[in-house]
Amino acid sequence: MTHPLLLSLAYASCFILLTGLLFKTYKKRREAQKKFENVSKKLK
Amino acid sequence: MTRFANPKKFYNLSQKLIPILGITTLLFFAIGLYFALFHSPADYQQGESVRMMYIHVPAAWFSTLIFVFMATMSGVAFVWRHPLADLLAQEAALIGAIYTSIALITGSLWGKLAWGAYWVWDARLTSVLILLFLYIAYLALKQSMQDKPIASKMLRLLALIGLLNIPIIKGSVQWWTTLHQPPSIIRSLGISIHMSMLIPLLLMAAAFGLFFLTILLMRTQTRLLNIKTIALLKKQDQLDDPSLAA
Repeated sequence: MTHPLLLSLAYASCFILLTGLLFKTYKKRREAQKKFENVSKKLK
Repeated sequence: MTRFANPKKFYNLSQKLIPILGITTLLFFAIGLYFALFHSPADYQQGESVRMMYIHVPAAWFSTLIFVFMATMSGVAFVWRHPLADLLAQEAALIGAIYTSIALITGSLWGKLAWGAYWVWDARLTSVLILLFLYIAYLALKQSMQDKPIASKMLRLLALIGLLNIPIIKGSVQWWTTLHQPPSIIRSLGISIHMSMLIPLLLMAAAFGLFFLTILLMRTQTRLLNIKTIALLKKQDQLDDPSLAA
């Protein structure tokens, strides 16, 4: 494979993994927040 | 410092820090990438493929640093039995595993260009692969023993035992003859890399570090929220309600 292709592949895989981690974390945090708010509301 | 070891204070502080860290991370990535891809020169030997360094090296640095952080937090949890230290160690594991994967993937692609092979059973590459296995083992153990009281102890132990691999990774290129190059950024005689390459490297390293902190705070906050939710449910004996317990 050529230099530009391997270089692009390296940068792409790096940022796909980082973005995936960010979205997974954000989604889990939002779900936890919602669940906590629901439980708090029900208890009031 | 110990003031923020209180979970409530930690939660409130991270609430303020996350947006600031997020924006700073984005800025560092934007500036770092500009310097790495457009501003820094090509290497006289490796040509354009040297640009792999700007993601490979920071990912490799932080893959080991995160494990050291996990072991330190595990040590703190062992000595002072602080639950927040356990949470921080456990939530750092996935980020460490991702960084190690990035270091291995980019290293493998760089290896193809520099050595003509994607993988060689070289001491450095093998010890980093062992680090990835340690992260995977830690995550698997965490997943399989979720709420059991012994889980934290086992995880602390694994992090502390796994720490033995870090000096091996560091020394692998000096103790054995390897295809991987020896330390080439900081040597005993000082910094051995030109400023035009050092600046983008440090900018990208800062971006990786800030990204780690942002994600770590977000993940720890999520765990604290889940703990608070379970505590609320237990308090009201509503754990039997499937709509809430799900």
